[in-house]
Amino acid sequence: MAVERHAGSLTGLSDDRLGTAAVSIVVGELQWLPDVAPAVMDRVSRDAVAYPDHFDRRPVAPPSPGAPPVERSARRTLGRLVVFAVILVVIAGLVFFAATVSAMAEQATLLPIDGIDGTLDVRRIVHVVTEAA
Amino acid sequence: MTGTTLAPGEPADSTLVEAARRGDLYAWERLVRRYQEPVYRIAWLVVRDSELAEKATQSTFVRAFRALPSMGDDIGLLPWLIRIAAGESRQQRRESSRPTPTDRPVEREVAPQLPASPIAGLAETSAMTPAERASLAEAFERLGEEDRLVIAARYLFGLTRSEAADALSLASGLVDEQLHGALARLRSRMTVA
Repeated sequence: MAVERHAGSLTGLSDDRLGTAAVSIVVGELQWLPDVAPAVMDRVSRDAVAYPDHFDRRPVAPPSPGAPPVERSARRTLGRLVVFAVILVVIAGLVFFAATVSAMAEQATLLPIDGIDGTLDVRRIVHVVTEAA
Repeated sequence: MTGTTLAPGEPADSTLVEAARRGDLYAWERLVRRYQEPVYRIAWLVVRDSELAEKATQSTFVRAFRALPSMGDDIGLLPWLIRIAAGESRQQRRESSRPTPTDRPVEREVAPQLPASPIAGLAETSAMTPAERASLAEAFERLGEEDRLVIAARYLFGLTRSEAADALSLASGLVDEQLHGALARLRSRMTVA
C-alpha cells in the first residue's frame, strides 16, 4: 500500500517561490517552440489583400533578409531607369525607321516607275531603297 | 517583467503597434517574433498539445491583427495577447474534441523550430528531488485552467495585478483572491507516494 505524505521541502516554500517553481518545471519542459511568424504573416497578408476596406491598411511587404531598405530602394530605382532607357531606345528606333521609310517613299515618287498602274512595284521600291542606302 | 527585454535600438511595443495599425505588416511581424514565445507557452498550458498550441498561437496573432483598431490604449500588448491566446486555445481544444468527418490524416506544414528561452525560475527547482519535481508538476496539471493561467500570468510573465486582470478578464480585485486560491489548491495536491 502506498503511503502518501506531503512533499517535504515543497511545503516549506513561500507562495511566490512555489508558484515560480511550478511554472518553471511545467513550462521548462519546452525545449523548442515553433516559429509561427511566416504562417501568421502569410494569413495576415492575404487578409489585407482580400479585405482592404475592412483593414484600411496599405500592405507593406517585409524586407528580404540581409538587404537594408536603402539598398532595396536604390536597386528598384536603378531597375526603373534601365526599363525607361530601353523604352526610349525602342521609341527612337521606331521614329528613325518611320522617317527613313517616309524619305524613301518620297524619293521613289520622284523617280520614273515603268509599268505603274496605280499599285506600287515592290521590286522597284526595294531597288530605290538599296540605292538610297 | 511585463514583456520581453528589448535590445538597444529596438522600437517599443507602442511604436510597432501604431505602425501596424497604419498597415505596416513588417511592424506586426516584429511583434509576432517578439511575443510568439509567451503566447505559445500560454496556449500550451491550456491545450497541453504542441500541434494545437501552435495552431492557437497562429490564430492569436491573426485575430489580434484584425482587432488592432479596437485595442484600447490602456491595456498592455502582452496582457491583451494572453487574453486572446486563452480564448483561441479553448477554441482549438473544443474543435479538436469534435469528431472529424474523415479518418484521413490532414497533412500539415511543420513550422520551423526555435530554441526556447531559459525559464527564470529554474533555480528554484534545483534543490528539489526528482520525486518532488514530479509531485509539483502533477499537482499543477491537476489544477483547473483558471488556476494554471493565473499562476502563469503572475510567476511566468511577471504581470502586475492590473495586467493579470486584463489578461484573464478578471476584476482587478479578484486577481489576488484567485491566485491565493490557486496556490492553496496546488499546495494541497502535492504528495509524494
